[in-house]
Amino acid sequence: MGPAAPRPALRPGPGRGRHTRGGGRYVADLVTSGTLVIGFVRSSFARARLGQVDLSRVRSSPGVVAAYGAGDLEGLLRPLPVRFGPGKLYDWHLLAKGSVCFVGEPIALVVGVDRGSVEEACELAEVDYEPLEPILDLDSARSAGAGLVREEAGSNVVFLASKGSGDVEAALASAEVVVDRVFHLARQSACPLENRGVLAEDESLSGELVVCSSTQIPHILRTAVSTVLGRPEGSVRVVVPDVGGGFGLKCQVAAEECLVAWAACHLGRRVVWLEDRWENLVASNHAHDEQVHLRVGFASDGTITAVDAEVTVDVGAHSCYPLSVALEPSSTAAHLFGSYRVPEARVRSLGVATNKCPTGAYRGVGGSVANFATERSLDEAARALGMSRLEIRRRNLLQLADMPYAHPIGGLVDTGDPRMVLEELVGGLDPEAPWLAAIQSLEPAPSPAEGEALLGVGLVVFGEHSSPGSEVYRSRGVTEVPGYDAASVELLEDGTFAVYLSSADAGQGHGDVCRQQVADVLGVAAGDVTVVEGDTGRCPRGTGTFASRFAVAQLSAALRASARLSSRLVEAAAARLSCEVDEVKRDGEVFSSGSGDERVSLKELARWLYVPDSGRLGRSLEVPFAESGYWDDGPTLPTCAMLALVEVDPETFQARVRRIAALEECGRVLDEAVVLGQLRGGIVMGIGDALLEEHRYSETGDLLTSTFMDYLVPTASDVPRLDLRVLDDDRLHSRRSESGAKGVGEAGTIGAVGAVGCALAEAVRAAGGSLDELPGTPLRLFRSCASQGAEGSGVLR
Amino acid sequence: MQVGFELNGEHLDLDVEASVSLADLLHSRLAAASVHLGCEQGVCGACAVLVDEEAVRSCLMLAVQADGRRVTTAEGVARRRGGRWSEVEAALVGKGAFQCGFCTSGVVVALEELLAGDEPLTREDVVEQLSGQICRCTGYVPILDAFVSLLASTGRMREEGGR
Repeated sequence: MGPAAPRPALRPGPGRGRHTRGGGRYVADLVTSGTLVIGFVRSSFARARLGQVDLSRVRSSPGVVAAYGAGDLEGLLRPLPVRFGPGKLYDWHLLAKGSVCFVGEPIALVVGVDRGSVEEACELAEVDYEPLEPILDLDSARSAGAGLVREEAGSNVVFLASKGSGDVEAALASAEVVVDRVFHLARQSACPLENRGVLAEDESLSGELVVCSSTQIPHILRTAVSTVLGRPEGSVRVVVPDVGGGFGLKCQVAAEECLVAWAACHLGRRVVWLEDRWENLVASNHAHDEQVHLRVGFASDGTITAVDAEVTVDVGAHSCYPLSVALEPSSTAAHLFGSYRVPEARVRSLGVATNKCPTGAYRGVGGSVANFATERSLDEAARALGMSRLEIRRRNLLQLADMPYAHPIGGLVDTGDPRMVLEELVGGLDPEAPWLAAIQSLEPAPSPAEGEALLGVGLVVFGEHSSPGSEVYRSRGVTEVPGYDAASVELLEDGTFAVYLSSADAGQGHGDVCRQQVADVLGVAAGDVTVVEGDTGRCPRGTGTFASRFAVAQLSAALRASARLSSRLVEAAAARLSCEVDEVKRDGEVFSSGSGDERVSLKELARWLYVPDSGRLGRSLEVPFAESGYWDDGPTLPTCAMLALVEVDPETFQARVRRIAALEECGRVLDEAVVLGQLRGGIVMGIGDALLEEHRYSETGDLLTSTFMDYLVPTASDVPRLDLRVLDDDRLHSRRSESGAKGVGEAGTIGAVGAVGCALAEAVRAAGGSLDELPGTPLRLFRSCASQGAEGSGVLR
Repeated sequence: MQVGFELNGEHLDLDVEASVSLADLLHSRLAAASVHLGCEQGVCGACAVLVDEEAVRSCLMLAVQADGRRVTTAEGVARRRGGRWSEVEAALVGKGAFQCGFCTSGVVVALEELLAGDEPLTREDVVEQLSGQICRCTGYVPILDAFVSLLASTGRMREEGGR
């Protein structure tokens, strides 16, 4: 292959319209002639002591520029401190040192002139492994004598927390019915269509290391890179180009990102690493892989009296940075029975290490399994008490009158009305639709006739913990996530405005929403506002884009900055017009003095500020004429109610979602098209989690699902009819966010996992089986139906 | 190996290693930024291009196999029809049928193949064609709606089961 040709300047039109013909600029599109390519030698064993790593044949392979193992980095690259082990930090060396803990763990970094040379050279590494018995499930990880996944952690239980209050045992002992079941969600992964990728260059002119990465967290990545390189933060700039989807995967700092940045500095060359799909599936981050053991007590009238929960997550062989192994266990615990009144509750959450791919965030995080477990328990209780599934929810859902509600495990619910959300959903349903009868019925669905599809309806009502603030992360012991987001808004010399955000867009459409909201506060046309994000060189520090942070944290910060700047514009106009501030009148983009004789347009004012005709007095007139804003008040709690109708083929046990109806209450709706887009995309992703997506390992710890032919994500043929509505009610707007919005990024996914999961359980029940595990693959559904007699189990008294 | 083919209307003669995939050639050497590598396992469809009239996964085809063929990437779809924007592009933009954009150019190519025929199509036909393209963002609905509207406006839509 010859050198890459220069890219044509093809950007047909502004905005996302350019994507139809390759006008996006992803990391792979930034590769220029002379960019060196990086690849990784990865572990072939799930658990082994690592002997000598001999890279001599790699280094002499054609096209290879350099190769480094952990030993070569000694003294050149500092480890990244990560949280793994009960309350402790340990040093993550980025390349395996002394041992390997999962298949795919990076062992050596190889730099060459093109991808082909690097891939061939990686095969030539001679690595001495002394294989050990891999620890691949929760039971073996916790059994005596299994050994430790990571010696440094000191235990395989690497996270442990409890929360709750009251006398749960007494409440359970006096309950009319106790549902006692264990729910599972498989190991899954986010699989953005664009794999991870990073390109770095140490700019000789500016002395700045520029790291272009497909990330959701540019500022946190900068901190990590500057930590491992021992360079001042100001000399590291992270720039986020177009990102081909994140879904949580890219809110982890990858070892590869830090290593590529190091190689750029060490070699003084522009270098790139483009992950391939095998690496992405085997060795990026997985998610979920957890069980939730619930014991839930109910009084005879169906009210919940107590919840006792134990969440156990198989977190894999490593922590993730910055969210840490606290992420999935904490998030799952926090979402249990989140929309319901719970008098007594106690939850214990554990993260257990195994020799599998490290886990991290995937859209919905713990909310998905928590929703499934919560709602399945309610269905079981309704059945045991002879109530309809609709009625048991009505009796327990929180209402506006309960607000603010101190949830014993979820924390403070500031506003919302889950009961109203349910009634609005049900009230808007077509009375002929089959699901209304199913949720109102006191009887379980009748068994289908021979050869007919098994049908099931699932109903869920849940909250999503959007945009957590610093308090949430500190309570989990996490100090690597700032928790706030920030913005600055600047008046420019031409009278237009620039907004700088701490977030990073991965296709959600931040720019359009922010531009309009900020323009409204400043009283200008949206076309006069430019939005800049994903660049630590220009934007204020903050947390980034995940957990629906944009509409809540990020936009609040931008709106606060805009309001401050708007006031300062009036002060500047007063100075220009030689009148008092309270005499200034504003009509569109023209300011006038009290008498109305003196007038100045916004554009003239900007010019006057930036090109002064004499020295100025007064801080308020100084340039840059900018104000900043900050937000750290989360979480907010949007609410969603969702119904799913599924059918299961009685011969093949293939399930299909026929219809989904949902009502979303996410505070003030800023842009309905964006809200519906997030819901639709989230729902289809959740259908994948509930029906298809499952990582599986062999007995030796090799991933069996390392291609898109084995790890199945939803395609167009998996999409059901969707009836989606959005409820925007002033009384329910968030008081924590500046606009009243609550965030909507995860609801679709969380809801679909719960609603489809519960619907599958109903379908299986009609055949005399029982389903508490997802995804509902044909094999799992067949086994569930075959386990006749399971009916009624798990309900005591 | 020598290979000669037409790319978006221009004839090219190149010397290419036999092992290079068409996707790699197009993206890395010929600056066809629309050819995205999503899986290189022949599943996701992000690297779809038209070879003559057929949408193919360029990651599964060797560059040398393009010899003597006419290759059209998403960059060239509009030009192929002599317009500034193709109807498919306009339909997708009109419905806002993308978020991150990584799958979009492959979707344009796959739908262009379907549009190029003249037989009436059902929504099911569109679903089937689109099921070869993975999109993780949109839930497919706006893409389907956009293309179905386009077909309806040109009288190409047919009710299910009326074949």
